[in-house]
Amino acid sequence: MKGEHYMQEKSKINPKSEPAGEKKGNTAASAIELTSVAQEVFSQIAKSTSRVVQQAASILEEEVAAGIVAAKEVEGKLFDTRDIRKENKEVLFSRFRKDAHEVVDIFMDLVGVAAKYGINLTQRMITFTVPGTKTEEAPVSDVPKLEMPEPMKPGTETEVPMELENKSREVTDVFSMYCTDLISSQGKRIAAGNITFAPDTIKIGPGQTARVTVKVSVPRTTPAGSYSGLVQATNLYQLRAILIIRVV
Amino acid sequence: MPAKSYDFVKEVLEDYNALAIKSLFRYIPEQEPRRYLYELVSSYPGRPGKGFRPGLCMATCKAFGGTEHLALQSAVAIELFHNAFLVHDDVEDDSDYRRGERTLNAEYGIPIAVNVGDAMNVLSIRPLMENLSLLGPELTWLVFTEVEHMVRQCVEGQAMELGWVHDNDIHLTEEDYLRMTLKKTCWYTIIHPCRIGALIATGGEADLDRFNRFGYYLGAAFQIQDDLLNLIGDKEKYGKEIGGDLWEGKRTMMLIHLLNSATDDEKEWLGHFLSVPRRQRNLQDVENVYRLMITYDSFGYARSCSRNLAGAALKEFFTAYGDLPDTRDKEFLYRIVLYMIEREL
Repeated sequence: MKGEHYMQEKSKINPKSEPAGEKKGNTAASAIELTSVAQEVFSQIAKSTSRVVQQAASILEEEVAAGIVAAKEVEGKLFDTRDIRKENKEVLFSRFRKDAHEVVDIFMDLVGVAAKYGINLTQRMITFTVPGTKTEEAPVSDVPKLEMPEPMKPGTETEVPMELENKSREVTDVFSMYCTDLISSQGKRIAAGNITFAPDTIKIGPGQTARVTVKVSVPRTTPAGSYSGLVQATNLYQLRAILIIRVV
Repeated sequence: MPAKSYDFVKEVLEDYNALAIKSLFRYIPEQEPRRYLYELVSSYPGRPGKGFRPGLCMATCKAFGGTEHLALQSAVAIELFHNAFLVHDDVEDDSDYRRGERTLNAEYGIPIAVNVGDAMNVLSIRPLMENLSLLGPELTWLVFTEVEHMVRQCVEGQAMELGWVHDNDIHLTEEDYLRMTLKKTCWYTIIHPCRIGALIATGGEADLDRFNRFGYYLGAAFQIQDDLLNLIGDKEKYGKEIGGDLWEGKRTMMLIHLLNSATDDEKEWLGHFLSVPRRQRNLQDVENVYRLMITYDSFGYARSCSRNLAGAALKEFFTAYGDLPDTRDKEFLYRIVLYMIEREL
């Protein structure tokens, strides 16, 4: 089997990488002989993502989302004042908020909380921009919260309309909203299948808004507690919010 | 397998591990009680280990422009935590061998082993405290927050796995296994060592989430490979009893695959086998489980998952490290991906 060098392997995988002759400081320059196992592993890179990897990615998102909520709870206990939070939170909690997996220059900003209390409805405005465009408003780095206005009982359903506003000068791709499992501080779960979004697909023009309705069904056997999960959108990777439900 | 392909990885690992272990011994008090505490604290760290965690931590620190010296104390703390976990893990699993020698619980009994593990947990705090003069208060605090998350995730993952055995849960899915592995193994074996290395090197400027997927995929691939080696490895190289996970009833990827593939009768028998305490299981039944795993190709399935995950980890390597200058440490971090799933020990 013909050996390949690290940089050659890298060039195949990452077209932006430097050619082998231009690398610097690479002291272990001897060729690595690829075993059959290595070849199989490399072949996985070119293939579409396997089921086990997709599962793992989903689990990681859920666990990190759970970490955001837990961190916020701890943060709330440790720091009471907004000033202290401004000083430290970005550093302390950045690990939970950022995802550099896809470098997408989108930021999302919760600009208004116009909750309507009546027939279990609350309304949120989520504003975002498309990559490469500018907005005059400074981004707020908190992940927005979508909190149900009233506690829910097991076996009941409720709907929450929220507004998405595209403040950029470019139209979005068609995207869908989805949510991870909701997890309580006791580790109990409301499966993701109990949270649905309407309409199924959304596309928002520049400066336009769209209304999305979040419908939550609380299974009959759900223990009481505060449940949280991460709402995200396909094709708008950093459009995300924390959905919070209190079950009594 | 061309062993020389991994000589470079092994050499770098050995260098970093030697540095970490040498420093680790400085944190073990030279005072009484020696015989049943401090001499035993040095037992596991003194045995030949792979040194993945200090290696990943210090190499990542250097790859991001730092020095191994800056990350050394944090790497020592991680390694001490790791060894404490191993001591307690051996008690929990009733294991006889670790790194080629008798476990502390087998040699000295459970009470002494538990106390030694407790001592190692306590001793790991000191190097983190000493970061204060080296890194300053803010970075020291940030490293503490990383370690706190790391340790908590690990014990939560361990609790999940122990709970499955305690409840004799035979209705587990691959997702259950992957979640448990993330918590029990991946955060503390890969993700946090890398995060801490980059954190220190950049003074808190690096986006540490860049390591999450890389570390998870690599850690899961590593854990599945470790479980495979437990069943089909070479005891001399592996350092633990082969088949120990079957005796123990550990819910591995192979066992979960088997439970989800077996007929109803076979599953009922497996449920009964797993309900029996470890010391009451017999060789014939253990061999029968092994044969069933061969029949349903559970080893092949697990191996395939491990390689899929390793492939994904290689892909994620470029998210985690792709924008850094090419250095010896970056190359080491790249090559360690394949090494971790092709290793025999």
